Amino acid sequence: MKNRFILALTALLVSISAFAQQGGVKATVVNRNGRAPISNARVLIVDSDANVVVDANANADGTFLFEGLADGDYRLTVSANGFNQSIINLKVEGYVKDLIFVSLISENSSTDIDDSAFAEFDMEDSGYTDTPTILFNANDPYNNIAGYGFSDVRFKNRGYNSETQEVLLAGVKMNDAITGYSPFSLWSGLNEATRAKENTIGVEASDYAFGGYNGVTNILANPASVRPGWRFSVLTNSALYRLRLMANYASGELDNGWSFAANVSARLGGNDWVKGVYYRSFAYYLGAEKKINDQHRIAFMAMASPGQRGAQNASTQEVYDLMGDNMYNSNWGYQNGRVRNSRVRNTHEPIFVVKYTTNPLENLEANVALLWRTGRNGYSALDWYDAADPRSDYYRNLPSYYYNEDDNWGRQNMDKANLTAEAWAVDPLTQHLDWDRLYNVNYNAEGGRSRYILEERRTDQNDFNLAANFKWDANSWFTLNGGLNAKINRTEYYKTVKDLLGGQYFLNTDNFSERDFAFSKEMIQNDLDYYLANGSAQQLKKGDKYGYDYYAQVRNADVWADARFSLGNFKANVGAKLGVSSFWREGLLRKGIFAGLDDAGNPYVVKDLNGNDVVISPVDENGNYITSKGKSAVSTFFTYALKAHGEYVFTGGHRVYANLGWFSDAPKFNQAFLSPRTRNSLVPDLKNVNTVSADINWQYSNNGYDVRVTGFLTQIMNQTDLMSFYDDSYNSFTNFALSGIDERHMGIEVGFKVPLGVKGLSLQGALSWGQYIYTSAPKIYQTIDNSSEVVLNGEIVPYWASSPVYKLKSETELLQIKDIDKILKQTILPEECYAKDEMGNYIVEKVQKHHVPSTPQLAANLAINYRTNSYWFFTLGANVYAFSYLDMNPLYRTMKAAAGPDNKMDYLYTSEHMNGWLLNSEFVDRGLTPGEINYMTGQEMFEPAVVVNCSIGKSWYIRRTYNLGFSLEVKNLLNNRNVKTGGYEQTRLVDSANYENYYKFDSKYFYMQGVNYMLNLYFRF
Amino acid sequence: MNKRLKYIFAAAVIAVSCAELEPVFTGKYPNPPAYSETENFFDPSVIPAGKLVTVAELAAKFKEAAAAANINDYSTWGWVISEDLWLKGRITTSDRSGNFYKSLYIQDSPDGPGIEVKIGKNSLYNEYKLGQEIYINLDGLCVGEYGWKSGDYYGEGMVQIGVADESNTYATAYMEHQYIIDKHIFKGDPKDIQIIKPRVVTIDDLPAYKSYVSYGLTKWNLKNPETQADNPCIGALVTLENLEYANEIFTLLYIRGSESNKNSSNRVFLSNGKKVVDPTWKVDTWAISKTSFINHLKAGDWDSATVGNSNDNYGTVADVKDELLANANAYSVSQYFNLPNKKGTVQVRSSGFSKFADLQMAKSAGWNNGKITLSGILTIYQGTFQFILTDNDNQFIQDVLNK
Repeated sequence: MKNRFILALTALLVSISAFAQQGGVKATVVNRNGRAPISNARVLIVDSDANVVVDANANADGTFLFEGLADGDYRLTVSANGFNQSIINLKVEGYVKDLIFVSLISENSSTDIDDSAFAEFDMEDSGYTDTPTILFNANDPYNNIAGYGFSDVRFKNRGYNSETQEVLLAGVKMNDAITGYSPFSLWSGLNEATRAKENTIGVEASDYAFGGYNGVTNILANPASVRPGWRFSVLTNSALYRLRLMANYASGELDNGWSFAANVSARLGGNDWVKGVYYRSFAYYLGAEKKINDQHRIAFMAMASPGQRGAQNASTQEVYDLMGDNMYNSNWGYQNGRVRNSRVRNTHEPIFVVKYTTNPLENLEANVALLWRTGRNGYSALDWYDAADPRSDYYRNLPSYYYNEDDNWGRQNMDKANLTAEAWAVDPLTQHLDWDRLYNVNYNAEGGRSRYILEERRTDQNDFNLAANFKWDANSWFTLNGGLNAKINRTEYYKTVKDLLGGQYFLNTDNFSERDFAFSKEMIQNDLDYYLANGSAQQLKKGDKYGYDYYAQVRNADVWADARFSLGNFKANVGAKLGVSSFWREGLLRKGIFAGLDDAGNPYVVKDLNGNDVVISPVDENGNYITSKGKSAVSTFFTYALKAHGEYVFTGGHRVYANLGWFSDAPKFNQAFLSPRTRNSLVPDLKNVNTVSADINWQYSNNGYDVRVTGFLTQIMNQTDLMSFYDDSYNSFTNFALSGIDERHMGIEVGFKVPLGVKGLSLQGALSWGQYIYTSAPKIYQTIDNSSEVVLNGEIVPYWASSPVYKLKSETELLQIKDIDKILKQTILPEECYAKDEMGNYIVEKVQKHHVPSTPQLAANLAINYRTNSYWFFTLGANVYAFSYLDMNPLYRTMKAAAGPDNKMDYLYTSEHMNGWLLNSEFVDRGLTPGEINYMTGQEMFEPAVVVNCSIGKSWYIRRTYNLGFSLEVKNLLNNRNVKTGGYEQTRLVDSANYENYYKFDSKYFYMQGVNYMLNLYFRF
Repeated sequence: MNKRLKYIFAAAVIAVSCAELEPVFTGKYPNPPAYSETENFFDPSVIPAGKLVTVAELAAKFKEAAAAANINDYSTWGWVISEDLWLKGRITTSDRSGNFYKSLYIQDSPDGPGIEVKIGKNSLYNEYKLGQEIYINLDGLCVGEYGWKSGDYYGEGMVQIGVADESNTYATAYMEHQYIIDKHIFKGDPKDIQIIKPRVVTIDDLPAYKSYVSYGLTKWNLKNPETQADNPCIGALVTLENLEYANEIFTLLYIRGSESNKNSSNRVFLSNGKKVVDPTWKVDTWAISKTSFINHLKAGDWDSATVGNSNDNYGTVADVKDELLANANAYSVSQYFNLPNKKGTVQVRSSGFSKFADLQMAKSAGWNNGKITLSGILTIYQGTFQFILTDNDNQFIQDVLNK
């Protein structure tokens, strides 16, 4: 059976160069699944007399070249660990025959299962894997595991954000122009069409792009790269959606040079764990490719994943405990007895690509791709005007809002707390959204003006890209790669009325502004121009835009080159990239509170309630008018990057290599504006983000053993971040902009796969152990959407990178304090409970470093694989996750929050305190106490977790034509439902009754699902 | 073998397909029916005979309960009802224009007194319509008296309905949680709307004034004052005609949000005391919005106002202006009006969050040379009566709300 594959494969491989030299053969050994190069494959050439004329290893990049072969017939056998060997009949005719690729089929592939198959099981919006890590590389044991095996939790490789991973489609960088996020959701459900991919990791360079410090993934997506034949599959799972149906066809390259491919799928239904999360998603891919001749090839592709997905929401532990379920989702409620989710993503973002490939010379290849991404991206949410907050887990609906045993919270109503707890236990209308009530409020609303509506927040992109690259193999020791990229992105941010929920209309006014600016009808307008033209606000119907509407305009361009040198067993490359990045905001609506200047250049003057003239155009602290409409200042950043790589291949399968990179990247649009929904104001101090990254690696691959050990160190400097959320104490959205965030990521990666003596039995494992920490005290800017005031203006956030833990007195000393039993019930212990040194300073017991959140800093996997000759496979493995941290909000790390309402810490005292966390009575007199610091500023670490998974699969061949198979994976066999996978702190403070402290709002968490399965049945021919 | 596999495959496809047929996530959600068509609204016949009390009776029962419990200080005492007792009434206030907040008033007859029901949710007008009848199951609720004051400045307050305030800060607390509200508050048929019109009352009807005359006492030492049990004007929706502006305000500002607002050093009274030159403090609007507050401060209108309670002096507003600006907020204002023939004054108290807060009184509908006729709820606070504008006909703010 294996031979049949090999024969079929051989037919694909015959491609002969016209370039004649001495007799010989050359090619690159690649994984057929993705055409990723396979390192150090064994190449055996036997002549017609059965003499071995070559027995050597291919290079680390998969290439081999053997010259000096006499004319004649040979048998070429290529083998590598983890792959079926390939045998090719070779005829040498006086020149070096270029086979281009020798494709090996993964042993796994024979059962149609590799780890990437499980990644088909995409998990956006499930709450824990919205940033899939796709790193597959068949002969790298670490990447193979980390790519999917750690998806139980949110795992960020090396702790890097997903936007640092460059993802290319047909050679075009697809990371979101506004956010940088990796864009896998654009083609989710098209697993077959996008299966072929090439990867690099870390700082390593790619043939197609310069890349950053977190690898490059290039999804080929051209029809010729799609696996030929028909394939149908049915997948069901209990974690995300019930059903996935998928069909795929690829023609392979026909005699006339055309290749065609199509891939369609549907993902439907809910799951066993999180109610309200569901899919109604579809996907399509169509491609045609024409090989015009040996020099020219052109491909056309169109694809999209339209559909709807219901989202999950994080809740506080109190809510989970009240419901007795860590999978509780507050986004949904019953409408007419049916589950309805208020947070639904509704997207259709088609991508169109034209790619041209040319080989003008035998040693030169160039690609040019044009790509256009367009369409709609919507995310629904409830909106309301002058009506009660409808969310079931709104903090005022919880027992904790009414009672706390610490009197200083000022919450002493035990009866109300008990009744509220009773409500959560017995009342479905307390537990979930009450859609029927929202409709009835609207039915009864005066004049039919809806009080509650469903809005859809839209992020509609038009993204035009040009990407070109070339590879020139100048000679046997020098190769030059290079390219250029250009991007024009215009993204429109706005919202629409998705559903009036039984009302007749919604009014386009800013309900957040109405409380403070009721004196002026103009100031509460979302669209002042409409109001001035029509004398009243727009009455919105379903589908109308409202609220905010602006373009994010982004222009990027860069050129890069990478020179590769090869000398014997030594290889090196150096590369550089230069670029420019510009962005600006273009407001399409004139909001009443940020009216700016009129066409004549005058501020807006309107009549107030009393008929008096009042100027409503606000100015900033520099006297400039703050405006919502029109073009903002253009921010332009010059970017550059440098990379170097060196490696040495030792005999016996050992390889040592190292990478070094320096990157200066522009900040992203979504981090650059203080409040992009409302105004053109930029975050002060915007700078390039500078990163230096280095790694050193040892790799061993021989006799079925694959091992890699890597050490890495990365320092990231000058990042900015913007957080935005609704704060009902301001009756508005509040925005925190942080600038000057530095991070340091260092750690080791280990991956191995070793045979266990029995054929088909192997042990594999991976370890990612690092320390990803913050290393700077950034500045913070706080603004509120309905105010021109800057609440926090560039203050230092002293406890961002670390926080001190002050030492408590000994138990004996504590017992001597009067009323200690009562005191110990306090959330924040008074200073009398803390130990001092002989100088009167409070003793720092330890300093807690603050970590990059939402990824385990220690992740380990150990698994046993068993594969039989009859195409059964079994895997049983366990993962350990530890040192995961909660996402911090900056407010809790400010002096304002730590010292409390009685804060009298000025800049000098703050600086003195930050120097070794000095704290004594002088600081206490200024409102800063050890108890407050210990309570407010630390970072929560999640409990470690062990997760056991297993999988089983089998495939059958029917009449040597049809292939039928299944794979079943069961995750979290121990049904552990107490594993926190992520979460965040709410950014709200509560005044203590004595006005000396602030208390925190409870944090919100996501949990890992309990035991769940995924069953995939496929049929192909 | 092949056939069997095909059957297995087909069966599996059908099995997983069936799972999708669960009746959710279709993306289409027909509008739910209106409650008015589907709900059985409260049937008053379930109230046992003799268990339905009037507002006046409830106020009297409150006093009886207090007497039985030997309560001398009502300021934080509430009568938690533990018997099957009911009250009904029609809603007389709306929180739409923001002058009422988290509570509504009801009257059980057009001529009777009214009572505040402390529901504790925002935007009640969306679900509790003016003129709609509600029934209150009082069992488990708490009746208390807000604004009662002891000592030399003794005076009655308003009998009101809420839940017990276990923090002992007030006599009652808001119900707040919908589950608690739904246990006690039952709506009558929403189609049965009977708007209670404000009734014109004269000076002789007003409680404090009547007490004044009857007993010949100063207003600060009333010995036999009235509550809803005694006077049908209290808590009722009434109209006071021909009020004459008295050029005087009362409002209390807090300097720092970081300090108890009970601290004298954190308080600024804008009132007619300490030889004030202009007792209006240049506040010619019904109340002070946040924007207006900032404008007054920046204009220096209150610079000479002293910080602290009447006997204290912590400097002036000019000294703490930065702190006041940092803690800028909206403030309620009591505007004083003389009753006809100057036989007393009434404080018209309006919220800084009301949508007409910044409306100049002189620009209000019906204003005529310092005189105006106003409708609202008559309340008692520490023995003096106050007046809260209802704005039920949107007389002040229609433009703002609808455009």
